[in-house]
This record gives sequence, C-alpha cells and structure tokens, in this order.
Amino acid sequence: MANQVTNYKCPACTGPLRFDGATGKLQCDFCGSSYEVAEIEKLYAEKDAQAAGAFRQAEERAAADGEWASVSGSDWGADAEKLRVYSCPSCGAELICDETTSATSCPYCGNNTIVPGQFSGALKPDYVLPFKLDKAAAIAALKKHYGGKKLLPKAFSNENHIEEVKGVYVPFWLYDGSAEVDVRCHGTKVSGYSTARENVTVTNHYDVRRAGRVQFERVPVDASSKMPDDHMDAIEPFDYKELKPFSTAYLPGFLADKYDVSVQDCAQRADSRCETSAVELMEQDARGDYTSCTVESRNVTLHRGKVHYALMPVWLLSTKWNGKSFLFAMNGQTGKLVGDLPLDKGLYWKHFAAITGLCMLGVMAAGLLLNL
Amino acid sequence: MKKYASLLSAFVLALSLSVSAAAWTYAELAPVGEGSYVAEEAGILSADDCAALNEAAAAVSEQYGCGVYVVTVDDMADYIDPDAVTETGETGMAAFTEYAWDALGLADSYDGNGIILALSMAERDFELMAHGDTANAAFTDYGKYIMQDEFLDNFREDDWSGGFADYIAACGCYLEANANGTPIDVEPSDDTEEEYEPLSFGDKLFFAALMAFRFGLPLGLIVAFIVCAIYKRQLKSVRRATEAARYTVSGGTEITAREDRFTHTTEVRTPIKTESDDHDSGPSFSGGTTVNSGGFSHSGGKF
Repeated sequence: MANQVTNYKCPACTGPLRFDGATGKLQCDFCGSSYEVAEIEKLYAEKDAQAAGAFRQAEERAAADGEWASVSGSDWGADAEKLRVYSCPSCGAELICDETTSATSCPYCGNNTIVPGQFSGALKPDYVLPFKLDKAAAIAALKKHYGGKKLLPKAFSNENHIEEVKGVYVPFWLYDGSAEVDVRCHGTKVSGYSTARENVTVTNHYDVRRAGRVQFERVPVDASSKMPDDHMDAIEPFDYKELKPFSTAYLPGFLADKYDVSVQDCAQRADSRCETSAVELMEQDARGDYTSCTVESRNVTLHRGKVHYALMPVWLLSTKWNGKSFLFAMNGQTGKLVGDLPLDKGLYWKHFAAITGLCMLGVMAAGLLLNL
Repeated sequence: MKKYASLLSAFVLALSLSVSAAAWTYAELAPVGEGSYVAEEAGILSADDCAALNEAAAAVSEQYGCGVYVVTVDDMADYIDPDAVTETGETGMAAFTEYAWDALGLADSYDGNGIILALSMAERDFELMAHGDTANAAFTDYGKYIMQDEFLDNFREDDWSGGFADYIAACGCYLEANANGTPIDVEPSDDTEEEYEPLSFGDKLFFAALMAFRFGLPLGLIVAFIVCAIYKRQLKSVRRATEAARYTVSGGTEITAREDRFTHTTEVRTPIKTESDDHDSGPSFSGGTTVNSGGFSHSGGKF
C-alpha cells in the first residue's frame, strides 16, 4: 500500500528539500541546489497522487470499520479520535500527528514530510501565501519585541526558548461579499456670533440619511481552532498580491494544518467586520458636512459571495512562564509580530515610586531655587 | 405818529429784557450762626429732626475739634453752575460743597477743620467733603468711600434724619480713630521694602519639603500613573479586529441615497461679563487722602 505521506528530496543528492521564502525556491541544505516550485511539483505529482489516494482509502476504511485504522498500540481513549499515525518515508519511523496536520518534520531523521491527502479533492486550498521571512528574521523580531519593555520581567526573555519558533501555514477562509447599508443620523451645524452684551451659539439640527452598497473581498478569518483569532487578526494585513495557486511544494520546512472550523462557523466573524465597516463608511460620508453626527439607527443586509481557502504563513512561538502560556505570532510575509508580554508587578511599583519621588524632588528643588 | 409808537415799544421791550436778565442770579446760602451745624434748605427735615441732628453734630465737633456739618438744597444748580470748573478744579456737587463751605462761613470754626455731607434733591446727588489737616487725616479717601454705607441705605428709603444721624455717628468713630493714631484707611501699598529676617537654610528646606508633599506628591502620583500605564500598554499587542475597512474593493463603495433634512435651530446666549457687572470690584485705594489745591477732599455719588 502506498504511503500516505511524501517528502521532497533533492534530485541531485536525495537530501531533504525545504521551501526558502527569500528566493521563492526549494533549497537543498546538503548540496546547495535549488529548484523551482513547478519543477518539483511535476517531479512528485505522481507520488503525491498516490499518497493522497492511500490517505483516502485509509479514511474510508476507518469509517467503514468504525475504528481508526491508523492507531496502533496502546489504548489512547477519546484522544485517539483526533490522532493520525504515519510512517516516515525516509526512516520508517512512526509519526503521530494531529488529525489536521498536513505538513511536519520527522523528529528522528529531520525530513520534512507532507500529507498530500489533507490537501486533495475538496480539501485542496485555493491559494497559498509563501513564507518570505526565515527563522532568523523571526528570532530577530522576537528579540526586538522584548526590547525596550520596561515592565517585562528580566528572566522572561532568557527562559523563552526562542529557537523553538516554528513556521506554520495557518488555514484561512477568505470571504467575498457586499453589504447594503442604510444609516440614519442626527447631524448638527454650529455657528456663533457676538453682540455687545452676549455671545450667541446657534445650532442647526438635521435628520441625516445615508444609504449605499459596499463591496468586500478576501476578508480573512482563520479556520483553525488551534490558532487564537485575536492573534491572527493582529498580524493582518497579508499582501494578497503575493498569493499563489496552491502547491504542496511550498510546504517543506514548515508545519501546516488543514482547516477544522467550517466556512459557516467562521462566516459570523466576517459578517460582523463587514457590517461595522459598512456603517462606518456611511457615517464618514455624513460626518463631512456636519459639526457632529451621531448614528441613531442602522440597517445592514449582507450578501455573501465566494469563499476561498488559503494557507497563510505565520511564525509561532508558544512559551510558558510562571504557569501562564504566552503565544507570539509573526506574519511570515510582512514581519508584523504580536504577543502579549507578562507584567512584573515589582518593577511596576518600583517605577511608580521612583517617578513619584522624582516629581516631589523636582518640586522641592524648584521651591528652594525660587525661594518660595 | 405810528413811527414814534413803534420806537417807544421797542425801547420799553429792550429795557424790560435787560432788567429781567439782571434779576436772574444764583441763590445764596446764608452763613450759619455759631453753634449751628445743619443748613437745611430743601425742607426734608422737621424742626425736631434739625434740633436733634444739630445737638449730635455739636457734641462730636466739640469733642474732636472738627466741625461736622449737614447741608441740603433742592437743586445745587440754584446756587452754582454745575458745569463750571472752580479754581480748585472741581465741578458739580464737589464745586457746590466748596461753595457751601465758603458761603456758610465754616472755615472760621475749628481752625478750618470740618466735614460736610451735602444733598441735592433734584438729581439725588450727595457729596462728602473734608477740609483741614485734622479732617483730611480722619476722613481718608477710603474712609469716605466706606462711610457711604452708613447713610445711603437710609437715604434710598427717604429716611433723611436716620441717614444724617448715622453720618454724624460715623464721623465720631472716624475722628476717634484718628485721635488714637489709627485713622480708617487701607493698608498703604508703598515701594519701600519691608524689613524682614531672612529664613535660615533649614527653614527654607522645611518649607520646600512642605511644598513637595502638598504639590509634588499629588502631581507625582498622577504623572507616575500615566507613565506606568503607558509602559503597561506597551506589553499588550494582541487585539481582535472589529472592522474590515482595508478589504473594501477599490471603487466598490457606492452611496445610493443622501438625504439631509433640517429640523430645528437652538440658540444658547451667554452674557458677556464686563467690569461694571462685577459689583464686588469698586474703586481701588492706595491709602491716604487726595486733597486739591483748596485743601478740600471729596467723595460723592447718587443716592
């Protein structure tokens, strides 16, 4: 039976290939050869198809037997339903992965492995945004993120295992659509004049209505339950001009997951964002003519268009400190990095006391100098 | 014959006009007799009132050697030209009271020391005027100004005898204060430096420390709170997106309806505060008495 996973090997020396964002090519770290994505795609098209076929057969068998054929050995209990086991095509080691894992690396031989079945048929993404920034850039950005934070515990960055940052292709739904919006506001225009005895402020009041249509395209919502939505929101925007038609050849060297949150479940977030923006655009148009403009009622009708499935590049580092988890995410294309940092309360109060003391000393010195 | 008749008529007319012109002169105040302190020409006081006021004024005048006088007239214009400027540079009621001082012969008493409260009923004008070293020392510019509170409330209610009685009593207080060496006056603002002992460094340090606690502590707490809040904010960078403005299609926004309907107008009127509206602010005094070339000092107004 064909293996469900593949890994891309260098045609020259059979070393493992990885996608290099800087050059946009697949690179061999052993012999230094580099290959165009299309070249490798063509080379491994048959193998990918076989692996995808094997994946589908395994899924069908598991569904028919009522048990997961890919689980062996000990009883995993309820967790077993979410696991998959693959055999590394390089060294034969068993790879135990999450049910959504689509690209990983073998912890034994280090080979980058792809599960083409996760991206075949109806599951195939429409687009992939290739990584542009490498691990070194991610590490540098993380160090810069820690820098200059006066209330960050000193030990935090030291204990951070910054080298463990991982590049992950995160699945996203990209929503197209339009909104018909009708907004009613209360507008005022204020003017004034003065007489010899009084100042007069004249306010003219208006009922204001703005209605229109706003079109949206590719509003992103992350389709992975493992990725926190606020982190994925915070690293926007992605430059969609760099989007490529999907190919597994962009995945070697990175982790990848397929979606586990459906289009319908993600739609509400996209709807909410589109509605807010549509109303704001109408309000902005109304506000231009008035001193003040307050929205009194709004009516929004959303028309959903196409939805595209895309993989976006994100560098991720998850770390624990003082029992709390901290996640840092960097946009693998633009370099925008986000992640909340812990607060050192001792440092906070030290700074507070120091600043208060300095102000008091300053007033005292001023008093002495001015001889008040 | 007709010619001679018209000439005669013209002569008689001219003669009568010159006679009437010669007859229009100002009235005159008659000198007060010795022991008389009230010249009541307006007829606003009864005989009993005049007698009582006279007795009170005499007592105060005798005690302090300074005449305290009351003068009332129907209209000062009956006695002087209110618009004419006197030799001392005064007009109006000030000029009238100087005239009254001379006409009533008040300079002959108490070595020329005295104070007059004069009323002109036609326009409800009053004037306080002092003459002489003792009087000008006792009745300073500030003192005359605040003395008005003693009698103006009475006059505004047409309580003439009450007002004059309060005036005479006030004069007694002012003359007593002057006799004690503390005439009623404002603290003088002078250019001379006050002599004071310089603070020691320890005292300066103490007061500076007090200032530090009083002003520096609240200021420091506010500044520290703001600065630490900014530092704390730097630690947070994760935010959920609530809008999709960057994903609108270029040229894909179309406004299909713009309706603006005027409903009504509101006005807010705020009076402009001027100096005359501020009743708490009156004339400013720097202390002492302003005396003109005739030795008179004045203060007056309307009652």
